[in-house]
Amino acid sequence: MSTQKSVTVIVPIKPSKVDDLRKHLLRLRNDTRSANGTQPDATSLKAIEAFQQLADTVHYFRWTILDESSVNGDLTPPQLVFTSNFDESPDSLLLRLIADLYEPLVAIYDYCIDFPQRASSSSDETVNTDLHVHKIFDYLKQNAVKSAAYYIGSPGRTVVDIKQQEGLRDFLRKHLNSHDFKGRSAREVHQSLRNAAQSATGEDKQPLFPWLKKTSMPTRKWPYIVIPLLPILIGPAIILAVAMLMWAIWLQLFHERRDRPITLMRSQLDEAHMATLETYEDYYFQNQFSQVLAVKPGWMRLVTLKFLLFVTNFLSRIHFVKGKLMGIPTIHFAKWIFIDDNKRVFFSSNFDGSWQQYLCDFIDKCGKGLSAVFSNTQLFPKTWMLIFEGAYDEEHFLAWSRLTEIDTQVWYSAYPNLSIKNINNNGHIYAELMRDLDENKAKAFLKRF
Amino acid sequence: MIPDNDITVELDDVQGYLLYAYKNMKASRMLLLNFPSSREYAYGWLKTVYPQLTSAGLENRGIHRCLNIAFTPWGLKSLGLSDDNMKNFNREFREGIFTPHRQRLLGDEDESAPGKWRWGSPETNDKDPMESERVGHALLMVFGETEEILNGYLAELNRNLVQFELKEVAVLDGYSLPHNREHFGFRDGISQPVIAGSGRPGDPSNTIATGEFILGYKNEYGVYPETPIITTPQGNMNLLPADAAGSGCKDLGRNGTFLVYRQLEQHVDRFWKFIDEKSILDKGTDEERRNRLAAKMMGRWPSGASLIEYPDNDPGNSYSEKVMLDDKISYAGDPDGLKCPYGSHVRRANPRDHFEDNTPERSIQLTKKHRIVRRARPYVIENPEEHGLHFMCFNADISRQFEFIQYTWCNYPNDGQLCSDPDPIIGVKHEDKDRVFTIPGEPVGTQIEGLERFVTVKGAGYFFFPSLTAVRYLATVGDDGYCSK
Repeated sequence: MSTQKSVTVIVPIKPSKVDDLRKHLLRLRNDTRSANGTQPDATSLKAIEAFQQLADTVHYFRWTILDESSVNGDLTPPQLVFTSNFDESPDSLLLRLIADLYEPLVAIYDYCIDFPQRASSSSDETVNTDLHVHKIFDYLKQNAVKSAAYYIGSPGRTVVDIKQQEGLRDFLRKHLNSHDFKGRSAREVHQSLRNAAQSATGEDKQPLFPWLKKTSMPTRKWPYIVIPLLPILIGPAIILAVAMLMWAIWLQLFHERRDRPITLMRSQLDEAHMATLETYEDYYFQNQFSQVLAVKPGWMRLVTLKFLLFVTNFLSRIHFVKGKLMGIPTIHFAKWIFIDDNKRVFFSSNFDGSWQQYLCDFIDKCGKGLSAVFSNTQLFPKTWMLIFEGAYDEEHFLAWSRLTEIDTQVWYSAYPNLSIKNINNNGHIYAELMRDLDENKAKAFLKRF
Repeated sequence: MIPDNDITVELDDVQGYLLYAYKNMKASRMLLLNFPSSREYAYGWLKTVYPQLTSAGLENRGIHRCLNIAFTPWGLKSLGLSDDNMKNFNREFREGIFTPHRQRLLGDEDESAPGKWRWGSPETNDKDPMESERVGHALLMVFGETEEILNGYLAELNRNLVQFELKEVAVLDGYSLPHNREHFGFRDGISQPVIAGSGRPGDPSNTIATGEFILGYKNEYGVYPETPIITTPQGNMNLLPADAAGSGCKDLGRNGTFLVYRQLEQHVDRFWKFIDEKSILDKGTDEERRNRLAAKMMGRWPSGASLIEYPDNDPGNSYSEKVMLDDKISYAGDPDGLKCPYGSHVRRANPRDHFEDNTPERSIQLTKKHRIVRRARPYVIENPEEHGLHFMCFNADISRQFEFIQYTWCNYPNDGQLCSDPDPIIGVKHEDKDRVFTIPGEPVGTQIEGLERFVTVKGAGYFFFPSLTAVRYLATVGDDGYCSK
């Protein structure tokens, strides 16, 4: 089973063009948000239509401008981040992006440094376009960066799966609502549902759910090979734990105490910044989060951060595979990327519900893990021994989150009103529908509706 | 055996309505007022008010009338609180309940849109609230044990209102209905959090850190909530206490909190007509089947009895007193919502010991961070007839408490395992025709389709509900900052 892929492309923006690019992207955003009600112009309308064509494989994408800023005295140039989660190979996604979104893409990247210009070497315009497409592909490829950690809320489930399974759940629920099952056993109801789904046809007399087949939940487990190895691993594990403890003590004594944490409260944050962030929140039942963090100076901080993100990434492949990232049950995708020669980290996520709910979950469900990772970045509330205090300093933590959050100009979600819990539940409904269940399992199955 | 709850709060400085529902006050009137253009008059009026304010102090037990006051940010600005100091208030309060973002969160759209409110929002979206006649400056909350007592008190207060030229923006009368029932017919105000340090005994699972409700004390995270400190000295700084969080500044917020006020019209006929139509095929007498469905949606029987204890029938009013005294409902024993649907209003607004897939202990720990002290009073307006509820609640962090409950737990249709179920009582939007209410059952639950909205917001506001000291201080903010050492 293949898993959802991710690509991130970061390119420098022409410094004099940052504001123009922002305005251009904002026009696109206005149209990706139906609720916003502004009339799209012709170009953006075209772009929106083009976005829709990607819809069968693309879960999310965003364009985010990183403004010029100073990190430890060095100036970092303005940059444009494109990041996406999808179901095909990155090369094929990029090619399709360029082909389907050719004009909107050129319009965006014209504001960026070293974007290849369209040649007019041939009199045949399609040849020119082809040439340009290849150059753009190389350009995007060259500027693609790897994620340090990548989390997937529903591993292996494609956009098509998600939409099909939502349709299936809807259909089954309507079947339940329109039939009287009083006095029937759960197994009988289960059977009735399966028969209904298998024999359902649309107006064109074709089966509604031709893709129904026996399936298993797409999950990954600890490789079984690890189990006999566990006793052998105890020794090294103890050594590792002691080493990590010493490491944390060292960081506490010689770094953390001297670092400058945030002292602001939420009310003291910049009004315009907050207004920008909130203007585009909560149109759907999902939201996005983009954050740029400067890594604290010194190699120890960088090593700690790299190690912890490596562990996060590793656990995201084998352990955080059932819709929870460190206990947080609302994240669809999240990734951490080192940028600017490891001087900064770009964090992005797509989540259910409001910012307040998301941040409460952060503190309540994984405050320690979070503090361990983020305390290696500047301004994070003071931690003790890497994992204590930090995020639990609620007011300053919330202010830190908003302070370091940046505006995302364009954001797209393929299913903005489905929660990750819904998606995983729908997956279970499908898998269990096609399986033969005993009475107890059938009862549990029916509770999913 | 209910554990003691030692008094650590400065009760004499806290306005009484935060700690007491004034249940014996059968009549009440909330006056939304605009200050006169002359600040001296406004200070003069405040000076007549603060000596009369009812504190939560024990000496106030058994009194026959009460007076409390709350302020909008525009009221504080009118009084002359400087921009620097205003900025130390949380953004929710400062911006107001009517901003487009909050409108999305709270679901105040269509008929409930701020543009259509009678009070609390500017006349048009782009109007500066400072220029508005409708947002109000101060909310004077007057209570009387009887109608006569209230009217007598109002007449007294009115002399000062006239003398100092305050203008009435809205007059909001409230009553207590028999058995504390709101207009849909349900007993209201049953479960309330117990504030740690208030002296009221309470079960530990329901005793919440002081700082969740009163500024200047630690909250459930063990830290001090954001509080409006005075960073640019003005007025009589001697009056104010120091910021407990240690900023070195004086704290205007200590012993105060924030009041959320929503005037909700209840469409009682529409509600029961809907219930009647949707339960028509159920068994039992008309009253039984209607009450059963309505109770499933509300999460309690009309008498207030819990669906957990009484899954089949309403034990009636005889049960009410027991309910008031002993509100120990556990949802952990009903994880599938077979007795009390997890989509019901009361259960989702406070999931207690069954929150997501957490253990009961952990659930309580988590849900304690999203509690409010509710204060509701029903109202009736004649000509044209309108029934409704003055919903009020107190919280220290509007975003994490009131707004979180309203959005994440009530309006959000994907709450928990649900897919398209908003809160059937307060969370349905007018255009939500495909929204449903799920009643779990065995082998299969039922779904009530085509939910309707039964409440309309008629006015709303976020208010600062200050300590007595802070009210006294506010009458001095026109003076230059002074502080004798």
